[in-house]
Amino acid sequence: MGLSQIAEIALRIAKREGSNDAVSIVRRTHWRMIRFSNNGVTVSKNKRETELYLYAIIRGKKAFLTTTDLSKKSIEDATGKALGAAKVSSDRESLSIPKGHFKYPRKLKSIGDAKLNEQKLLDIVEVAIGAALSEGTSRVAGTLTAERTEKFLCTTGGAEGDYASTIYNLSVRAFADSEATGQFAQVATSFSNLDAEVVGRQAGQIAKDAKNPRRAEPGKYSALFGPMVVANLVGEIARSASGSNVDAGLSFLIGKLGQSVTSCSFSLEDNPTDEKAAGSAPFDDEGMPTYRKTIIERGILKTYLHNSNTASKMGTKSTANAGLVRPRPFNLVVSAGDASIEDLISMVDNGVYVTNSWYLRYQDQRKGDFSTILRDGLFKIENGQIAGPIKGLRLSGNMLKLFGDIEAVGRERHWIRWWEVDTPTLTPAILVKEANFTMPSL
Amino acid sequence: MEDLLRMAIELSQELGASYSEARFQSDSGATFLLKNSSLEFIDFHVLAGIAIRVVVDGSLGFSSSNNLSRASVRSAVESAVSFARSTTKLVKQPVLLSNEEFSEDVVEIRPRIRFENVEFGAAVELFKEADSAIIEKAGKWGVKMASRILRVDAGTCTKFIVNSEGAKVRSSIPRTMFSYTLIGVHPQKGSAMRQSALGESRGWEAIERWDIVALMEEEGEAMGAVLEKGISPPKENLDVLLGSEVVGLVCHESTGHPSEADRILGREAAQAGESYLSADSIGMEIGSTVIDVIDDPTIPGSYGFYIYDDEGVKAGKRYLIKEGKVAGFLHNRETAASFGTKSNGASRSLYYDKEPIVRMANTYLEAGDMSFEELIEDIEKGVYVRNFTEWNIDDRRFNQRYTGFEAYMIENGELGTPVRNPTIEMTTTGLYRAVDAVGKDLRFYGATCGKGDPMQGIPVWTGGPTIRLRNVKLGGA
Repeated sequence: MGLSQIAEIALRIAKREGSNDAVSIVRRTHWRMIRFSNNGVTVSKNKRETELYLYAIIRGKKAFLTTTDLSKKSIEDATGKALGAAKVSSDRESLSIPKGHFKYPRKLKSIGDAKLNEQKLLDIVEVAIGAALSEGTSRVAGTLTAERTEKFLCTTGGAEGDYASTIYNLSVRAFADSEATGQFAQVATSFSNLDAEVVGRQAGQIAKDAKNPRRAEPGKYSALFGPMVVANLVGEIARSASGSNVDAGLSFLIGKLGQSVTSCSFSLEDNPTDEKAAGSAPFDDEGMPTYRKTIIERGILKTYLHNSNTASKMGTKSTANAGLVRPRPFNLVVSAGDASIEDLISMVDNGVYVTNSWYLRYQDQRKGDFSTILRDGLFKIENGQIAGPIKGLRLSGNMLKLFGDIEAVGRERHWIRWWEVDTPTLTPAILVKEANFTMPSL
Repeated sequence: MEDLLRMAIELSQELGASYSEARFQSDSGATFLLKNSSLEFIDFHVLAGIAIRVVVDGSLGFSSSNNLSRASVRSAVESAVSFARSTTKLVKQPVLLSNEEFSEDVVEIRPRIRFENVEFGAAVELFKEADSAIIEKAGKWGVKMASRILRVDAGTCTKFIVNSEGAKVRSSIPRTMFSYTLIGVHPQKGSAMRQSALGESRGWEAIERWDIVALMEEEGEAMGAVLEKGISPPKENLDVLLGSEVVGLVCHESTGHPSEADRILGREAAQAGESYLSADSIGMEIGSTVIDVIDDPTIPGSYGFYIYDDEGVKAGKRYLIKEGKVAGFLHNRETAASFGTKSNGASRSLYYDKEPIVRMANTYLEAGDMSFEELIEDIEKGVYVRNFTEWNIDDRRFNQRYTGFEAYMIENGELGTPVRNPTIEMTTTGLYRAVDAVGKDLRFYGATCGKGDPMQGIPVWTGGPTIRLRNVKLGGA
């Protein structure tokens, strides 16, 4: 069966089961991955999958179905169970899906390379490993992913559309020794925009410079965060801006619309309409045509990210950010500043340059209190210059304070996506005037 | 299904694979989520398909498809073999697999209440009662519960694994998890967050066993007390009791993960990271002699339960730390061959489309023989950290932090005033070496362990009894 046939069958079944508001999405994916470590390939992976997602509203409740079993009988059974379970709840909400025969831009009908070329994937891995080693490192690990997805959507509201998109994602981690590591990543929609040489060299250079780190001293320092770190932190801003998180009380941006939430040197947008960006799409998961929107403009929170449900709850309109369950961004774009990385370093008397971070957890998601481990190259900055590698620090702070303390924004931006960053994010480095760093007592 | 799996094995061997493995896996289940007293959604899923894993000229290939037609499976096999073959030129360490004994077996755990047969109306009412219990208990302390997310994930995982060396294992294991996120707000004293989970390899009957109304009453009471009365933790060195929930997480993060042999070999270096342990660390002292850490997939009813791993290898109880010394690692066949040993059955995959890799199952600190009263009685001044709200650890698993949620001062052997956000920020060896006594109150918690690329969040138990740390500093250096 074709994608549209499967989607339409599911929609008909949902209607028959009593839902007048339903969205049916079928996604067909061809996905390839090469993982490498210790300078060689460890595994090659291949996946072909067709998956159905159904979102149906019944008696004021939401039911979702995800299935890879696409026989008509299976779809009937599963839809019946999902809708049957959802309609038993005594409380009902006023829910609906968008209505309209929407038009979608042709430029987003096919995003990126139309075919994945196996040999080119191998070439990229070879170049990335070679580039990292050429910086003087001894070991290189990483992942290259290539994914082509076709997506068809139809709704009871009259929306219908399809598009295809390709994502290439390269992540490289280089080791100069077990404690001297560097990591960099890039996401693109075509081979021509993926620069394995740059990614490999960047990871290798950080690793080489991180050799023989000194034990750091905990305390409050100026902090220069590289693009990998900023992408991770910006993802948390977007998560907190999701109408679903705001509605659930799990956001540090609750009640802050129209208010200053970051330094005025920081601006952030969600742009699903850039055909060269890996997360772009012509419509969201309710069939609404997507559009470019400012989330934070020079420090001021301009909007939350909404689907029709969260928008209705907050008395506003959908921002066409519906995900399968909750609103989410497509491509996060941080506005560039005018400082080079050298300029940013020169602005710091006593600080730390953080090239990567991971394992961010909240002590209090509503306040934004969190900590995250700094990994890979970490450098002390003294009197406007890199003073050498250090180790062992953890960033322990508050999101609002951290973003409020941004002093300067870099001009060179990179498209980042890796293990810790789901949404393709275009970001420069940022300089924060004071951040709190802790470390173990024993 | 067996015919299809056999066909995949035979075809891949014909195409030149020296090793072949085929797995059918079906995960079906439901999630329901109560958000601030209202049913937010019900989500059903059926994820079913076939996975092929091959070794071709020393290169490992993996392929999956949800299309179970013979033509599609044939195509998946051809892709696995051809992609593996073409990457051979970039393979530096040809894949070898340990020699294992394989058998044919069936492991079936029958749930008493299948999720499909749950009375969802009654279930929603039960969760609303639990939600009201939190509000009421916290409210008595003047605390408003600004966020209550109560979630159940229930389902059954069915697998059928065959390989070219004689393995033929079918299994069917139900799993149910209850997880929650709570945020309380006190008008003068700010907010606090709590997250935790329980999980078992049982059907919906697990929900009845857990008495979630009583559990939420306890959480609401703790939230109220911590926010209303909590004081800042002392800054000087003191004795600390860590409750079983914290101990379970410590064992998972700073013993289980660094014991994964694929991390030690560098295979996960680009994502989850490596390990402070190396291949020759067996026997290395990392903690006091009262520390025994175990990983055991075979505990009946456990959330991480299985008998055969996803390479068809029979699993068993394995000591990771014995009397404070490194006693063993977690292996699949590939890492076992590198170490010149046998696999101990630690190879797991989340869904049909995921490669099996080295994973934990149920990781815990072995119980001692001391009661809580005995652990606390000679502490003049200390802090009891019963559970936690925030944690993280570096990618070599040495620099870790756990921020307590429910915690109390200990003075002259008695529990006293609640303490707010005590933070244990210590190295792995620093923490384990400070332990001088282990309680007998072993308890387990459900968790979803993240690793792999793509990420595979698999079900595990973390567990332990209360332990006593002497003369440590809260709040890091």
